Order: sequence, then C-alpha cells, then structure tokens
Amino acid sequence: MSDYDILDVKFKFKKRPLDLPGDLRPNWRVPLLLTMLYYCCRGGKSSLYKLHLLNWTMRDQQRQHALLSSLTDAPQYDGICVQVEPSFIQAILFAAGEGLLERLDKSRVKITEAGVTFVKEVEREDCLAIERQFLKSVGMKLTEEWVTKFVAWSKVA
Amino acid sequence: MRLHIRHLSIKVTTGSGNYGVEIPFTSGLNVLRASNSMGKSTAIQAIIYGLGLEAILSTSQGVPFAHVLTQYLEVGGRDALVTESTVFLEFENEAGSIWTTQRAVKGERHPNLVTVHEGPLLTSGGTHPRQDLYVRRPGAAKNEAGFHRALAEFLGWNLPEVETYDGKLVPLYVEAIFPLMFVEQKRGWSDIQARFPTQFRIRDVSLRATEYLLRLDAYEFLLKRRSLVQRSSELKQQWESRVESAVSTANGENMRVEGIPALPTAQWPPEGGIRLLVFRSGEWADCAMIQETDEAALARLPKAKRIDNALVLTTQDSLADAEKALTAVQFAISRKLDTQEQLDLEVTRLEKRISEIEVEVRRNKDELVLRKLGSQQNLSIAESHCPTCHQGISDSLVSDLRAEFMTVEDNIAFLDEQRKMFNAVLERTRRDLARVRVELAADREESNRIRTTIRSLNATLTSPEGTPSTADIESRLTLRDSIERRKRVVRRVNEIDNALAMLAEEWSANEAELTALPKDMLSDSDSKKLTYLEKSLRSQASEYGMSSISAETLSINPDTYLPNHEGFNLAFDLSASDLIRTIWAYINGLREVATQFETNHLGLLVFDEPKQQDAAVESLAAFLKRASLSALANHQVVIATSEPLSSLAPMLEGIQASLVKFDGRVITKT
Repeated sequence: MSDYDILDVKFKFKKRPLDLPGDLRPNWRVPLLLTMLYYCCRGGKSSLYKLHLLNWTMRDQQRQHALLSSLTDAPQYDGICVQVEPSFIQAILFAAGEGLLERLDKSRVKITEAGVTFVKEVEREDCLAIERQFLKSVGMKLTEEWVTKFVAWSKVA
Repeated sequence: MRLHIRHLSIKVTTGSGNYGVEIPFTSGLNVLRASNSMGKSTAIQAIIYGLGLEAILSTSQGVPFAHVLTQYLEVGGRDALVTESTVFLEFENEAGSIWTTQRAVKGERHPNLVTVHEGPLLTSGGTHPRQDLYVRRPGAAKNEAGFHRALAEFLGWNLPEVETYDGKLVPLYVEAIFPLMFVEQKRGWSDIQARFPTQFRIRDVSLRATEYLLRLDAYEFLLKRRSLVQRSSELKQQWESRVESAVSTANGENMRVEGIPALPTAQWPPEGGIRLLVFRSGEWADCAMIQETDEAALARLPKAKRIDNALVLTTQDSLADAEKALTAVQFAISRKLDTQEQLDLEVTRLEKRISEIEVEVRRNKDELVLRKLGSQQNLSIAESHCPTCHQGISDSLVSDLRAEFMTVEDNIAFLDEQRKMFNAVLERTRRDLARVRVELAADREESNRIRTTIRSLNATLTSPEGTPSTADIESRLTLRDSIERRKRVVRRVNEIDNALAMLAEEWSANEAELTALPKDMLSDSDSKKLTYLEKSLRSQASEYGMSSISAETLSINPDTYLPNHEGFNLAFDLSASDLIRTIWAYINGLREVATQFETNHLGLLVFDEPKQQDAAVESLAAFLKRASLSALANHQVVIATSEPLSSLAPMLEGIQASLVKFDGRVITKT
C-alpha cells in the first residue's frame, strides 16, 4: 500500500477553536489595567506611556525585577524597554467604552468611580493575587517624573 | 434506654406569697393545655432546665425563662417581685432508678448548680442521698462533678467521641442529641435541621447525633475508614522511603535497582522480581552474573609473578591494552556528558513550560471569576460584546483575527491536559537523567581503575628483576574490593526486599479491609432501621394529611438521615404546614424505630405547641392518636398546646392520654 492509498479517502476539515493565552482575554486584561491605575497611579491618573511600561513588566518576573530595582534615586534603566502592545491598547479602549476609565487628554487616562468599585470587587474575590502583589510593591514609586526621565534616557541612548 | 418524666414542680417565692405548679406525668401521651401566654412554654422550659439542657433553647448563657420565674408575677393586676424560684424534676431510667433534680432559677443558689436527689422526692417525699453537680461550665460533660456526665451515666448513654471543626475530639454532648427528641417552640419548628446547638462546634453534629440516637454502625464505619486511610498513607510513606533507600544504596555503588514499584502493591515479589544491575563495559548486566564472573576471575588470578623478561613483554602488551581501554572509556564519558547536558536542559525546559502552563491556568481561572464579577457590573465585555459598537468580540483582545477561540472552561481543560502530558514527559526525562548519572559515575570509576592499572603496570616495568609484579597484586586487590562492595549492596537490598514484602502484606490486608467496608457506609441493621424510619415517616405523613406532595415520595436520605423528597431537601417543596407535619412524623418516627430495634433513644418526646402554621385540626388529632400509641412501648410523649378545650377534648376521646389542663395561668398561688 502506497502513501497515496492512505491519502485516498475523503478529507473533512473541522474548524476547532484555538486556545488563547489568558492575558489576551478582555475580562482578564481590563481588570488588570484597572488594578495598575488603582495601585500605581496617583489619583488613579496615568499617562498611556506609563501604562505600557507597566504592561511590559507583566510578562515575566525578570522584567518585574528589572523595574523594581530601577525604582531608586539613581536609577539603572538597563534591562527595561517598552513595547507598545496592540492588545493592551484594545484593553484600554474596552475599559474606556465600559466607563471604567476616562480619557483626560490625548495621552492620559483616569480611573472612574465604577472602575474603583470593580477593582475592590476583584480584590475581595482574591483574583489577580500575584499580579496585584507586584503592582502593590511598585506602588506610587513609579512616578510620572520617573517615566519622563526614562523616556529622555531612551531617546539619548 | 429510657427516660420517663414522673413529675415536674416549679416553686416561686414572691413578696406576696408562694406560687408554683405541680404537674404529674404518666406513660404514653401527656397533653398540657393552657391558653396562649399563660405559662405553657415555661412548663416545657422547666423540663429542659431540670435536665440542664437549656443550650438547646438558646446559645446565651442566661437563664432561659420569662419574667414569671425571674422578675415579677402579675397578681391581680399588680406585680409581685420574685425573690426565689426553683425547678424540681423527677424522672426514671430504664432500670427503674429515680432521680429528682433541683435547680434554682433565681435566688441564692447558683443557677449552674444542679442538686440530684437520688430518689422520688416529689412523688413520695422523704430524704434521699444527694449530690451537687454543675452545668454550663467547662467540663460538665467529662468532669466527675459535671451533671451531664452523671446524667449520661444515669441514662445508660456511653457517648462517643466526635470531632470538632478544629479537629479536636470531644464527647458528643447530650445537648446535641436531645434536639432529636425535644422540639421547643421558638426555633424548633422552622426546619428539621434548625435546632442543633452550634456552640460546641461539632463537625456534622446532626449526623453524629442521629447515628448515636439510632445506634447506627455508620459512625463506627466512618472511624474505621478514617484509621484505615491513615494507615494506608503511613504504609505508603514507609514504602517510599524504603524504595528511596534501595535506589540510593545501589546508585552509591554505581548500580541500579529495577522492578521495585514506586507505590505499595499487594503482590510481592513484584512481577519479574527485583533486579540489581551493574554497568559494565558500556551496558547494564545482572549483578549476580557479574559477581560470578568476577569471583571466577579472582580465583583464576595466578599468584603474583616475579619479574623476568617474559613478564616484561606481556606487561607491555597489557599496558597497550589498558591505554586503549582508557581512551574508549573516556570517549564514552564525554558522550554521556553530552547526553547528560541535553537531558538537564530538557528538564529545565520542561519545568519552565510547566510553570508557564500553571501561570496560564491561574490566569484562566481568574478570568472565570472576573467575568462573573464583570457581568455583575453589567460590563459588555463580560457578555462578549464590544462596549462601543456592541458587536461580538470573540472574547479576545486580538481584534482583527477572525479566529474562533476556546471558551475559558475549555481552555482550562486544554491546559490541564497539556500539563499532564508535560509532567509525564518530565518524569520520564528525570528517570533517564538519573540513569545517565549512574552510568557516568560507573564509567568514571572504570577509568580510575584503568589508570590505577596503568600505574601499576608502569611500576612493574620499572621494578628491578626478581621482585613480585605490582600489577598482579593491584588487580587482585581491586577485584576483591569491588566484589565486596557489591556484596554489601546486595545484602542491603535484600533487607529492603524483606521489609517491602512485609509492607506489601500489610498493605494488602489494609486495602482488603477498606474495600470490605460497605459502599454506603451502612450495615445491614442500619439499613433496616432507616427503612423502618422511612415507612413510619410515610405512613404518618399520609395519616396527618400531607397535601403539597405525596407521602409516598418521601424518603430517608442515607447520607443525612433526613427526610427527602425525590432526592431534594424538603424545605423547598413543602408548604409550611406540611413541614410541621414532617417534623412531627420524623421526630416520632425516630421514636418508633426504637420500638422495633436496639437504639439509644430514650423513648421520650417533648413537643412545645406542635400546632404551628394553622395545621388542620384533623392533622393534630391524627398526630395525637399516633403519639398515644407510645404507651404500648412504655414510651412517653409530652405535648404542650393552646388548642381550645372544645376541639381538644374530642381529639382525645377514645385514645389513651393524660390531659393536664390549666384554666388560667399555669403558675398559681399555692
């Protein structure tokens, strides 16, 4: 029997659903975004750039470590680089659409009352525990000023 | 087991004279009738108080009585202050011994003190031996001076130890059993389960109490299973440590054991037996065979030769052979190092992949909850819609893909499968790695041995003529040493083999006992009792006129021992008045089981105002009739009711019952 004999049957293709990484699901990403705003942004306000920076650190512990160790008076920016991830932008748009955050101007957003309520609900259910723990340890140390300096440094380099 | 109440006496001293009540009880049905708020419940509470059981009334530490016994009595429109009040209760046990308890409600004597007169103080007077015992203090159930301990002994109850929520063992308190016999008015009628005292923190208190009351073997089975499961996990641990010890003993001498099951088995020796393997010239060989070969070689070794020209020539040949062998071994070592490195890398990769999958699983599980929270916040994305354009978003942030994605549940199942597979591969890889490590160690030892040989061959070549050959001596020593070391491993592994054989035997006995336990954890007699209870429940329910469901659909759940309706908790399906009928039938049914089987039931029921929720008059009549049959078994049913005499009297006509009626207040001037 040759290979062709084996192949000589009717093919039937069935579309099967793909698996999707958890961080690409809006219902996971939006609460995470809100948690960033709630724990790491003074007054719940943030520049988009800072959010992208935080988002970049969510991928693995090495990045988180790099960010944490650079939040000092004499910061070392090596090991930090920021990617703009389209799916994160989509999450921001969804969150804005849901009224969980509002746009202050072209480059800044602010969490709304509804957003804060949601974050608290999420914490009560102990969801996103590990992610929240990291964001809490970053806290308000990651200031807009720090971000501005980092951007300046990136441009020079 | 039997508790028979003979007489209740309440005495109240006030500023304007003495008050009180005397109530005699007989075998069978006793009906106390008084109008509402005339002190009927006080009489029932006094029975409970006289037995020190007020924990079934409320969790508070206070005295459970209304103001008549604690503060003031209304006398002709004026309040008379209560200065002292006491409850006396005379009761009898199975053996015919009679006790009278005396307990102050108000006055100088502490309410936690129960004085026991060991005789019929109320019905015959006289003086009897007495002892002061206490309740409502830690130790009342266990301590010598604790009333409940004495009461349990008097009743012939040998109370089992049960587990609390924090894992401690406590006796099954008597207060936890009485709710199956006493139904008080405040909480007693809300649900069959509502009445168990929770303050003792006993795990599954209703199950334990019912098992004890009906003397079911189920609890024994439960304890037995728990101890068997515990033993089985101990055996498993011992087994694993033995296996570990066998493996490390063998690996320590660059050997390998094969064929020991990692988990306990009943069959010993295992199929194929335990094999000890030695790594020799690039392959694994049976240890016994190697030993045999080596011992033969050792025996064949000639005595060390004296060095002469011929020997020098053969020694030179041997040296060349040894050097060739060394090169070969070193080549093998370097190849194995590569393999080891690859396997190491593979393990790291697998571990990383597994931990990534675990992160993914966690995210997906979070996502499940987050979506639920989101839909509580009315988020469109929780319903897979875009909040702005309201189109479907296929649940993903990757908007321009038209792909269809798994649901979160499917995704979790998918990841779980992946994790399982990767774990299996990881385990396999680790095993391979362990084996390569042993092989490497064996090869290194071999190369050391060859080096030693080369050195001694060289020494032989440079020694003066006429001295004994160093190489011969050396090879004899090396051979003997390795034979001895392997013997030690064989001995140790044999010991472990014996130990495992014993463990296997114990394991199989333990497993056999576990499988021998009945599946539903009920013995034959348990099943008979529960079947009887079910029959009794159905026949009563139909006599009492259950209307919202058919009495025939009632059953007793073997897991909870509670009435069920087609497998569901009754509270959902029943009308309020049918729930009351079911409680009558259930509590009385438990008593009726005691008329046919050996149980720990006391043959006593106390109901405070069973006519709840406007149960029909006919229902109450049927209930009283059924309860009056208790006299046949020498049981006792005490019912307090406010049913008007005009309707109560006809109900009691033609049935055996003792009616104690109060025209006004129960507590009157004496």
